[in-house]
This record gives sequence, structure tokens and C-alpha cells, in this order.
Amino acid sequence: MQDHVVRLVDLAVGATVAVAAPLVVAARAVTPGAIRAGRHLAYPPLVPREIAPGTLARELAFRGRAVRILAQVELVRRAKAAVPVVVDEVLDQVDVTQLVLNRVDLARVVVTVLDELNLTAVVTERVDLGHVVSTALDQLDLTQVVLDRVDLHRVVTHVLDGLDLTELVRERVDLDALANEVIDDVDLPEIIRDSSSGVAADLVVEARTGAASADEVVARAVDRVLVWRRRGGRSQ
Amino acid sequence: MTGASRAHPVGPGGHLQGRPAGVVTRTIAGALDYAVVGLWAASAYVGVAALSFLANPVQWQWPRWTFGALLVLGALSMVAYLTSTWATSGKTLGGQVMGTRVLHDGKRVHVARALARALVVVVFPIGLFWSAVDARSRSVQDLLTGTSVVYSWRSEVGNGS
Repeated sequence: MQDHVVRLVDLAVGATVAVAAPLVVAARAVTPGAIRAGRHLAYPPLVPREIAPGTLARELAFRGRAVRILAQVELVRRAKAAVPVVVDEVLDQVDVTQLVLNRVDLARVVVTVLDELNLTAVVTERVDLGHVVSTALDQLDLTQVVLDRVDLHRVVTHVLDGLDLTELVRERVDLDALANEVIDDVDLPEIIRDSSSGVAADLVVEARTGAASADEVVARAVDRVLVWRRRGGRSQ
Repeated sequence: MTGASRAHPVGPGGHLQGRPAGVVTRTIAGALDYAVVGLWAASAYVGVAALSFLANPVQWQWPRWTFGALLVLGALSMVAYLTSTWATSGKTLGGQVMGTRVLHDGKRVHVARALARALVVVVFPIGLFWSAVDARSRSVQDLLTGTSVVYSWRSEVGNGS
């Protein structure tokens, strides 16, 4: 069906060209003379210029131009008013989403857009990152995530390997204050009394307990000899 | 012994603290005290000799003290030493080493009682051995002055007053 229409159109164009071509040639041949003749007709030699047909034609052209411009403005205004209505009607009839999905290579569009965008800059400028991060952290159990996902033993080992702990403690810890605190918490005089000078104290304790054992041996021996004392009972 | 009977929960001999000291311990402590006083007497003799040398180095000779004078010096030194130590800490040097303390009713001995006890010890030293016979390990000096000697090498035993 479309082929027939196209053929008909082609026929009409061919016929028009066949007729118009000699006319154009003829027009070109006669045009300069026709223009001169037209000028003579518009402004005849003996007719005053105010009432010449050319002057009248010019005034008419002015009026026509004014009306045309008004009509043009009005037409544009009405067309603009009609555009939203028409577009709405059209869009009501069309499933735009489906249309886009069917007709648009979305992957290519997205890739192109992403290529042209500086996403980092866009996010930095447009997104309240603090709010996003705090919301995400509120919803996450970070401790559990770390326990599940992180090899803590390896991390700690790595960190410890890279640290000089002794030097770090020397720099960061107020050892004097710490020592004083520990000493304050410990009953140092009691410890000093108890430990009173190391090996010598041990020897003294040995002597005391040894002598006390000897006391006990003597007391038992005396108990065996002195019956009255055994009956009376020794003091404990 | 009521106030001194609390045993220390840890350490060697903790269970003995506050109990009457036996004759062996007390004898060793007494021997140490005699040694201390003997050293003191010897020092006094050497000191006097040194002073006499400074006074008259040409005709100097060792001082000639009679046995009686030495005895009196030793006895007086002993009484002063025992009285002062018993009335203050309750421990002589011998008692400090052997961990014994002299008490009266579980408390520190008053100076008069300490003096009386020291006199008895000096006059009748073998009275110490009655502690081997007595049921509560009391020596003659303890019986005469109402004192007692307890094991006390923990600082809190008998040291409350």
C-alpha cells in the first residue's frame, strides 16, 4: 500500500518538474523585462506618485504585514497553550516507561552519563555525607561486623610487629604517676615488714620456726615425765 | 593472751602467734641478750682503755678491772637494757631475732614491772628454765611479775596498746 502511495507521489513530482522546468526557463528569460514593465505599470510616467498603483500596493503590503504579524503572534500563543494539553493527551495514551525500555539503550546512556560526570565531586557537593554515614552506622552493628569479617588476630599481630611498645609506653605513659598510684594502693610498709630484707629474714624465720618446733619437742618430753602436768593440760 | 591470740592466716609459724613461747626459744633469745650485754661491756672496757690512752699515752696500760666490778657493770647494763626494751617494744634484741615478746595481760609491760622483771632475771637467771616445767610456759620471773612471753614475729600481735 505504501509503495503505491510513494509511486503516486513520485509521479506527481515528475509531472510537476516536467511542466515547471520550461516555465522557469521562460520566466528567467522574461523576468528582467517583466520587472521593468512592472515598474512602469506601478509608477506610470504621467500619474502623480501619491496615487500611483505602486504606492497603493505598498500601503496594502504594509497593512497586510501588520495583520500577518498579529495573526502570527496569536497563532503562536494558541499553539503554546495547546502544547501541554496535547502532550498530556499523548502521554496518557503512551506507556513512556515501556517505550523507553524498548527503544532506549539504557546501558549506553548510563555509561555515557557516568563518563561525563565527576561522581565524586557531585556526591561531595550534593550529599550530606555526615548524615548518610551516621544513619548507616546507626543501622549497623559494627562490632559484630568486625568480629565476623576481620581477622583480628592477624591485625593485632601486624600492628604489634610494627610497634616498639616499650618506647611507646615510655613516651605516652606517665610512669612516675602510675608507680605512685600503685605504691599508694599497696600497703608497702606491711610488705616491707613481712619481707624484711630477703635472705636474712628467711634465715630468721627458719630459726624461729625451728626453735618453736624444739619447744614443742621439749614440752612433749616434759609431758611424758611430769604426769601431773599432762593431766592438767598444757596451754595451747 | 586474749588480745594476742589471733593467728596470722599466712606465712611460716602464723598459727603460733600469740601462744606462750617455749623454753628453747626463750633460752636462745636470752643467750643472744647476754651476748649483746657482753659485747656492750667489752665495748665499754675498750672505750675506757682508749680514753686512758689518750689521757696518758706514755704510761698507758690496759685497765685492771676486778671481777666484781665487771659483774656489777654487766648486771647494771643488763637491768637497764632489759627494762628499756621490755617497757618500750616488749622485745629485747634476742626477742626480736627469735620473735618473742614480753606482755602483761596481753599488753605492753609498764616500766616498773619491767624493772622488777629485769632484777629477777639478773639475780636468778636460771628461773627461765621453770618455763619448761610450767603448764603455761611461765618462768620464775613471769610468775613473780605476772608477765608472759609469747611468740610474736608478726607485728600486730600484742602491739595494740
